[in-house]
Amino acid sequence: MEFVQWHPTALIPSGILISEAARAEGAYLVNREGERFMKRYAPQQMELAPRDVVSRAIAMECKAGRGFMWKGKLCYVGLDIRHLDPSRVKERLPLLLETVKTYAGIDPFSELIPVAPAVHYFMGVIHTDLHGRVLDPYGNWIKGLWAAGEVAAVSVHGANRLGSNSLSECAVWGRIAGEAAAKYALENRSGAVEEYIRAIAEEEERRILYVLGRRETGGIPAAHVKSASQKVVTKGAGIFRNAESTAEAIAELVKLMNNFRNININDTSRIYNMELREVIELDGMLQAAYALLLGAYLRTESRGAHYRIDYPKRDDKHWLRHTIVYKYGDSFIAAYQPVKIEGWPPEMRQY
Amino acid sequence: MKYKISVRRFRDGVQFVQTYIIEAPPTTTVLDALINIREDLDGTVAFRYACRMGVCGVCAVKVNGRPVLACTTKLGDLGSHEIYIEPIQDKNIIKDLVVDI
Ligand code: FES
Repeated sequence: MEFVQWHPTALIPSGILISEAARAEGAYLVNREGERFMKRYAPQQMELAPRDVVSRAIAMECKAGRGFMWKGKLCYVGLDIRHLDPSRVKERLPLLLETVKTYAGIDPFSELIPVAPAVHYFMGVIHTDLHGRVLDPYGNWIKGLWAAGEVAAVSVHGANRLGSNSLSECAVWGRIAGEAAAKYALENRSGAVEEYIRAIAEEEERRILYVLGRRETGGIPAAHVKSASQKVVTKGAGIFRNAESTAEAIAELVKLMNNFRNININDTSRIYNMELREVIELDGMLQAAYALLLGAYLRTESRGAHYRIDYPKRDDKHWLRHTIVYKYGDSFIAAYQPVKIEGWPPEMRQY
Repeated sequence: MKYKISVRRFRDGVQFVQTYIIEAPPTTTVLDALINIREDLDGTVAFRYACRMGVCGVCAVKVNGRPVLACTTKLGDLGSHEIYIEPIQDKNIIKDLVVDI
């Protein structure tokens, strides 16, 4: 869970992504001084360096006070397409032009496009094998359960997904898992789901409908807990992390998890209850955030999207391992599994 | 900027109009205004959205009588501070602005 990809160029302030295609077409990234700052961080690759490198570079520029400020609170840099041929841009990047115009109200042929890194993709998440089967902490398949897509950690991406590689998750593993699940369901018409899983599902349904759905008035709105948890995780385990920041974030998150119990739901209807859905999502979010922070705290090295200021080097000797966080009762436990290297051993990253 | 936003609501077989007053910059989209209403004023209003960038189409509603995508329509472009939001169609309303599509 600790490997979270930041996309370097999300539009300010809406957070909508400005595709890498812009930089592939030759767009520059510039700081407040009009300087192409990537020369300091990736002199050969420049703007085309991998996402984690570019995101860190932008964060560094902001730290050094060379970024622009949006309403005094959000630091950003400029994406410059003014030197590109307008007719080619219109042909190749029509979505960019439209998005920038609608959401930032800017003409990118005469102004810089305001961009900053935004959370984009989770490399980890649900522990699965190569067939998309969900595994328990001991590596056994949880019968009848598959996961595919961003939510599954099939380990195609390692610590750092490359652009467009998520397509393989839906196109390849979506198919593998989907076909396997259909086959399994056909072959096991009755009793396809083990008894204890059925019991968990029923328990969960009871919890949702009777505990969450029957709150009285008063209490805290879910949106407040959600935005507070976003701030906690971004501050504690954002683009840069260290032992202190992650430990503090864990403590803050535990407080929010306690607040979660006092969230109020005004809508008690059973039809299209957005509020209930948001609260259920928030519950999952808080737990995922805990797993993320715990993994980030324990991993004393830097690898791919996980960058620890206090351990800036990759440490293959100790950390060529997957973190597997699971829940035992109410506690979260981190276990580790070695990474199987089949084809290409990891090399030094140089740009 | 102050906006008076009226939402045509439907729940449990009853239809009614509810009005909210919000403070928001004119660059706020109709979708963000609805989200603000949910978060700060009334968590029971239901509507659909997903991509928030004019790609998926599920946030379609009628604003001041015109069918639009809530996420690409800005309050300041509507030419009025009084905004009336209703479902995209009159048939098959599931709840509030959510229709069976
Ligand atoms: S939310 Fe997808 S088009 Fe508006």
